[in-house]
Amino acid sequence: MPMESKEIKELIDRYLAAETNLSEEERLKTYFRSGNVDSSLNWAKMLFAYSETAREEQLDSSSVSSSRFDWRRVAASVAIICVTSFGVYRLQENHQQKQMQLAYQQTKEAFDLIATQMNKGTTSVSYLGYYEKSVSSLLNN
Amino acid sequence: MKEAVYIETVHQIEQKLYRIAKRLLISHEEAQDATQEVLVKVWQRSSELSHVKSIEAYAMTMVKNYCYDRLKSKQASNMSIEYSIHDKSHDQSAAFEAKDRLSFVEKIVNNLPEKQKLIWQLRDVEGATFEEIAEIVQMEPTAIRVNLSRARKRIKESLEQIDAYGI
Repeated sequence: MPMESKEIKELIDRYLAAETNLSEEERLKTYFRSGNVDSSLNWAKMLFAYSETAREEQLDSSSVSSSRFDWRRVAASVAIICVTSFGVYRLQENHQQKQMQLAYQQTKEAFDLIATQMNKGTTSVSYLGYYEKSVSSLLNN
Repeated sequence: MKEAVYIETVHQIEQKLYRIAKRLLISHEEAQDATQEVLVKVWQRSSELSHVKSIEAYAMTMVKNYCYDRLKSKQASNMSIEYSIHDKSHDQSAAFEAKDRLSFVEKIVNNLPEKQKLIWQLRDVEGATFEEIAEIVQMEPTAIRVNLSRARKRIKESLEQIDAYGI
């Protein structure tokens, strides 16, 4: 392929002079990616191979977690939110039940108190019966 | 779908920022810091930057300035002497440190002067147009071509020497 290699050499010269456009540079990359090249162009093969791997270089995901969108993370957070909110709900329910029981106890105590006071009241009122009896017996006589 | 596109765009810009920062600062940790810092600043101003293109150009300019500032303060404290020496013997000694051919090319590129290095990265790795490069590095297109040409020739010479040694 003397025609092609001549064209490539011309492109390389223009590349070194920074006169090639992006599509010509793409053409060079493709050329050097595939097959054997003239040993005088070994440097170019290395250079283009490197520039392509350099483009692949990535900021690794483990070190910068906030930037990567990871479904496993989303799923994990959703699960945590569900579990904690359910827990809080259950805890609240439990708490409510306890409060209700407490209120019931307090009301019962209050009623008991009223009942004992009432009983005291009725026993003292029952003395009035004697009073009425004696009054009526006096009046009738 | 719109959100997914947005996330993908941001992700791509982030990777680009990282690669440029890594090229200029060499260290992975410092490049990471630079990327985060710049992304936060871009995020804060994202309402003013309506077009994705302008966001990208803005981010690139920011990361360049950030890295240059870092390098300046390092040079002031004499920490980056190693990277300010640009002689060829340094490239040769680097050849013996390099694990393989590709990491050797990397060492040569990293030993380029800062301006050439940045321009080479933007053009030959990121595939930026000369207009985009001009906006980021704030230089005339002719000056950019001169720097790019020097960088490419310099890499070629170093690689040819190494090829002669037969690595």
